[in-house]
Amino acid sequence: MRKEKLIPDARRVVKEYGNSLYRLCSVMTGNREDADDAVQECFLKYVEKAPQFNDEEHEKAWLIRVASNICKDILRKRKHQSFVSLDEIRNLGTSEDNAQILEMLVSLEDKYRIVIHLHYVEGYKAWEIASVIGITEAAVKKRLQRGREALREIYEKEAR
Amino acid sequence: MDFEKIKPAVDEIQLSEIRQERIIEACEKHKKKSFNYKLWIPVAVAAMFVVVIFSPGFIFRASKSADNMEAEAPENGKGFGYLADSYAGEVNDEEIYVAVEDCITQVVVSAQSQTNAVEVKSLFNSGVYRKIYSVIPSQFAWLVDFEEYKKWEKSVSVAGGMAMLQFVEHFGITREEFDYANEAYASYINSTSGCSILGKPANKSEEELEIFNAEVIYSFDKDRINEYYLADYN
Repeated sequence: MRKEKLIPDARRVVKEYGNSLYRLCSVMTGNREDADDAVQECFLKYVEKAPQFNDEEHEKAWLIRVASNICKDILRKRKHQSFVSLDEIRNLGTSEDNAQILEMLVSLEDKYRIVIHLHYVEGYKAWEIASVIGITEAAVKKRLQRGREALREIYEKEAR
Repeated sequence: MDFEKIKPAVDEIQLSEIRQERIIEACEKHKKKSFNYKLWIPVAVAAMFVVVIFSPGFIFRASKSADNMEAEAPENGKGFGYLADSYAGEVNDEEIYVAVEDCITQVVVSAQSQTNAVEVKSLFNSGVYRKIYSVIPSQFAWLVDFEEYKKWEKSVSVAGGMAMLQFVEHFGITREEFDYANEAYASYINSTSGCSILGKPANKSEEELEIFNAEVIYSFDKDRINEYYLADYN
């Protein structure tokens, strides 16, 4: 009987979750360089800690949680310059229309940004988001509601 | 505001192939670095332990003139006392064993590796082949379940061909795993025996410094392997 692999397969996880984590980090940080750094740091942590997972969902949830914590650290460090320009958003490689949507998303408070992202982009349900980011389901629902309201407000302001 | 537009907007963001490859490369480097770090920290701690053991007071105790040790340390004919004793302890959750035999200190990290971490023993009489033909270093044994390995070790014979070939075939070791273990083995040899500017250490034969040739072994061609590992004196 072969032993469970102690050393995770970096190639598999990067290929499988690289895009997904990069999107999350881009939305969280709002710029390409920080997103790049955050994604790389997340995978390095994965290789270093070599955690054992029950299944792929468990693995993905762990990576999302680590990536979001890294992004929060990055945001904390650059607190004095929280503004992200539209140029930086365009630099993420999106079209003009989508850049505007992203700009609105990035301008949300980070606690709303992550739940909106996990719900609308990754398709997680409230209880799943709760277990991934470690808050209650009720808190997730509240943040989703307030995040949506904030997005609507920004949208209406832009439309005027 | 149509929230359904969020997903297609975010989905446009892609991590480029080049960037993915760079991250993979960084992970591989980091994996090796952290592997060495994990391996060498307990060894360094053990080495410090050895220094403490061989402090002047301890050497005096172990010398042949020490009355209280005479019964345990009979003369071995080389002018040195024979001392077969071991010291066990726990450092950083790892079990460290220090064994002294024939005045040679052996440091073994973890109970699992106690039998084969330091000494690479021949699994059978390799006859006309070089030493490496009949050994499985612990860096390879660690790739598989230890109990399974011990069971398999008993069944190996020279009739089955090179020990490493039998090991690879029996446990289905991939080339990637093999290369990884071979690299760790090379690093182990280099760190323990090393090579001086004047050539190999005087107390080591070239056979003892040899690592496995993956190309030859993964040809799975017994004749080629047997010919490659023939000892020079044949």
